[in-house]
Amino acid sequence: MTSLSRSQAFRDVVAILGTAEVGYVRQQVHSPLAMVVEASKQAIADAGLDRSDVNGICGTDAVSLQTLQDVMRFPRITWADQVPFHLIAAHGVSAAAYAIASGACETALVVWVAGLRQLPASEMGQAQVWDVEPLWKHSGASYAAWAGRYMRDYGVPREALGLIAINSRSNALLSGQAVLSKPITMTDYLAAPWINEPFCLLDMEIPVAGANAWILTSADRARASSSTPVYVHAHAAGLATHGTEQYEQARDYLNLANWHVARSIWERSDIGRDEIDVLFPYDGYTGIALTWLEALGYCAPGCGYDFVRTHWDDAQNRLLVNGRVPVQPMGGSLSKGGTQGASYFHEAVLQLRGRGAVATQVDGARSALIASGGFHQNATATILRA
Amino acid sequence: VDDDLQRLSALVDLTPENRFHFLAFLDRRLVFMHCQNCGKWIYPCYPHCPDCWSVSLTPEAVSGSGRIFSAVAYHRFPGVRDLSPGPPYVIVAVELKEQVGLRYIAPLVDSESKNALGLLDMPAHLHWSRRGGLPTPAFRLQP
Repeated sequence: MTSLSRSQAFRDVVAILGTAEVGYVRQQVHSPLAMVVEASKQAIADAGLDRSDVNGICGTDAVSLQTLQDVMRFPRITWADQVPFHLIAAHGVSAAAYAIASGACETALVVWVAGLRQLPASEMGQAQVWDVEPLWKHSGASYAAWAGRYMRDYGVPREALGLIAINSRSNALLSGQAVLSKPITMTDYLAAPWINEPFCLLDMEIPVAGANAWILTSADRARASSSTPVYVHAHAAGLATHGTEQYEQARDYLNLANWHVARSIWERSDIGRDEIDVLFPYDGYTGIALTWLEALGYCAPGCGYDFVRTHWDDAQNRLLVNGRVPVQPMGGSLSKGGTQGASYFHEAVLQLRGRGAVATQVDGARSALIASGGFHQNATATILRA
Repeated sequence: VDDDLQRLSALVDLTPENRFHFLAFLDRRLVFMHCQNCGKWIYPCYPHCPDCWSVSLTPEAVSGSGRIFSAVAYHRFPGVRDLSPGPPYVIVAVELKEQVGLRYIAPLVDSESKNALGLLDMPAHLHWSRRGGLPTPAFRLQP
């Protein structure tokens, strides 16, 4: 097995210079395109740049690279890409970072957008008969299935998932970014209606309409700028050896993609686990967050529940690793809104600039670890530093 | 047979790789490619053996016996009108006895037990249901 040596690793040569977020609401007031346009303009302004500085773009399924360029009219694009929806926001950020590091462009706009539209009927099981595949694929069932296997193999009770849900809700309320206004207790969690058992309603992210945009640029350019850069210190993506989108062929829990990605990120980072100040383990489904905590080495396999209980802050009713490191301080996908990890990058930049919400800002935060994506095709890890 | 093929095409996307697998439903057989070079069963349906990269593959039926590796009980699913015979509708991934990691997803039928976690590791066997006028695979708990 080969590993990337530290000397070859891509580190701190690209910065996020601008970030913006719009929407994160439960009503689709503005179109995805309108939200992307607004976020893009805000991100460019936040970076202290203007239209003529941007020469790379990364769109999504919802707003293609052609549409993004045609609506923004950057004078000369030298790099363009597009990240499909079944990947996640982190893939757009990393694609742009690699493009800048390679010289394909110097300054890139990356966008992400989530809407409240339903999946196409053909994929939502409107085909009433052969509904096995659409059910399993598009309902979070594959995640529920692996969470169930995990609970069974390690003897983990539902309360472990419940604490992840409570942590995200407490943070959303503390930071003032909750789209759902009620605090939740373990009693609430255990009484929540089943959706895809063993997942209940509170195990699943809350759909929102929202958009994010970032401006990435070279570290040299960033240092000369009037804005406050946050550097991309390390990034890793990867796949497990086996497994389709339905995941049922993945070998076992310890061979889900999270473990491969976690090994790569620590090989590439000069910043160690104990130095991380803000943590974003993917919480689109509660079970994934536990897997990330274990894969990243915060605790041993199967010990996520013990870990979360040991590091639980009773007064604030949330997880604070070593009494210090918040986990999803803005409320994560579960309680701020499900946008495939886009909000994690926005919050991480704010935290590393010291501009997070007052109640959840980590004093002197210098580094953030974003472990976003699920068990197979979209697992990624990114370490950002001030 | 032409009618069956039309019904089948309405249910699944037939590709050059998976055609043999779905056509075998009509004979109530669960068929996978079997690698003649390394002996592995291949599922999902691929044009070669992902383990040894051999293209020497032969379609063969499996026994249909195994144990439940994972299970999901669907209590709600927007857009699905027919969760018959009514929620919860249980789908299982059964690890077939032919090979470690060879898992097949299908509904669990005729089961009193609908508790997703309680079903794990229970022995199950292939059972042919009827959906859309065609035989389709399902699993039943083995007594």
